Amino acid sequence: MFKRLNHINEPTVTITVEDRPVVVPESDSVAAAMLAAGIVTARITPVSSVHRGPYCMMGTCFECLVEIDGVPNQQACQTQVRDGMNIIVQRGLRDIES
Amino acid sequence: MILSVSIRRETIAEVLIIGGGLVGSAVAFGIAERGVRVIVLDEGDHAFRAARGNAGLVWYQGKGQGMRRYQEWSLEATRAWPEFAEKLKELTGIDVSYFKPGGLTFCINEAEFESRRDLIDKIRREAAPDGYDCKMLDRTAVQELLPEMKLGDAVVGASYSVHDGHVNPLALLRALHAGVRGFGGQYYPGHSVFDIRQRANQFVVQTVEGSFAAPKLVIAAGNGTERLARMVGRHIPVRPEKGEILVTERIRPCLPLPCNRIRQTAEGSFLLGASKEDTGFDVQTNTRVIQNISDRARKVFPVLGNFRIIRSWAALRVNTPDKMPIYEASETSPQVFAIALHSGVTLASLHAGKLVSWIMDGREPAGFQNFRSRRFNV
Repeated sequence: MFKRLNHINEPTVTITVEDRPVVVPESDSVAAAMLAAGIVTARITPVSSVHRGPYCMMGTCFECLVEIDGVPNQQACQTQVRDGMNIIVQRGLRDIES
Repeated sequence: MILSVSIRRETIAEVLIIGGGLVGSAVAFGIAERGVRVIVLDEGDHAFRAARGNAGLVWYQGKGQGMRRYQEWSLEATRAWPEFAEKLKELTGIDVSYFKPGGLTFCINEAEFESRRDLIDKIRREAAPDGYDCKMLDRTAVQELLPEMKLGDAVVGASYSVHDGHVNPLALLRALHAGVRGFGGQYYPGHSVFDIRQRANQFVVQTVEGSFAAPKLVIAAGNGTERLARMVGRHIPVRPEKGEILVTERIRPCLPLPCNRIRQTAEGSFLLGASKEDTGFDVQTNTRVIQNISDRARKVFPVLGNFRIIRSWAALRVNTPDKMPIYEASETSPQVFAIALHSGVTLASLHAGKLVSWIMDGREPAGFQNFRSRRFNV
């Protein structure tokens, strides 16, 4: 779906998205990494249970919320990837403790 | 010589309402429902809109100390709310997320608890026998009402009333506007009023977008009411009071009751608020105030510290000198009404109902003399 514009020889890191290992350039945001890997669902909305993905890519729309390393409701577009990062889809509302 | 003549159309209505916030829109809703031709004049997006910045409490407890009529009016409003919310849904299809599970006002030290109890006792003494339904709960009783939200160590107790509830105030405003339009009324945003004159049996209102005339005029323009009422010779003292609100990320519903500084919306966000600042017409947020709001909220529920704040804003309350409403009507024709009050959310249920017969039929609700602005001229 998305192709990278250039192939700068940048070091890569490995992250896990929904149990799937993905190798991405270390300067990627989580949202960019997910989109490049063809994963377009970031969250399932709490109100109408529809799948939503990164939209504005600049921190405004809150559509790209994911759970990162156990912390829910993180903005994927505002978070840079880190080696070993574990990302899962934000399913509905977060719980009170986490 | 060529004379430049500008001919501007004058739009005629049966009732003109200046102010498209919660007060003006609720009144317009009730009037339009009768099939009366009503026009609402509102400002643009630069306006200070309490209707769009408030926390959405439909609140009764603690109101009206020193003026029994206001306490009763608030009770009547909360009693009218369930039916009102259903009516909005039925007529506009908009669910305003109104819930009435009762409400709490927390006390986080002994002094606060004592002073809250004194206030509640005072209101009870002023009220009709069995007319005031609010009680103090100790910490254990409060915790029982909130099984999922562990209280902080500082919480001593809370006042509690079954009549309190909450609503989505933006949905409420949208439903009122949709209703006004649905009944054939008109809403004009971007129509700032700069002049009002009387001409024969009509008021002629000049806006930046043209002029309007009607035999009945309702001024419900929040903090702009004082300036506008002066144009028709009425003194309606109002003063802005800044309040700031923080919003958290959405969380699974875990707070079953709205509280006076903390409520969880139907969508899951927590709204934290209730600061009070006298800074005139200033709507900047202030880091120190935000810190205080968040500190206090975490003293009540430490778990709130886990939640991310995603937004904050400031808005201006509309305060009269004694914090009680002003409902003012002229005895003459053309007739002008002025309404200035803090609780546009709570009182919307009456503004769209009982107040309409006051404006349209001259049926003044009992005890309404209490709400006249002449009480400030002693």
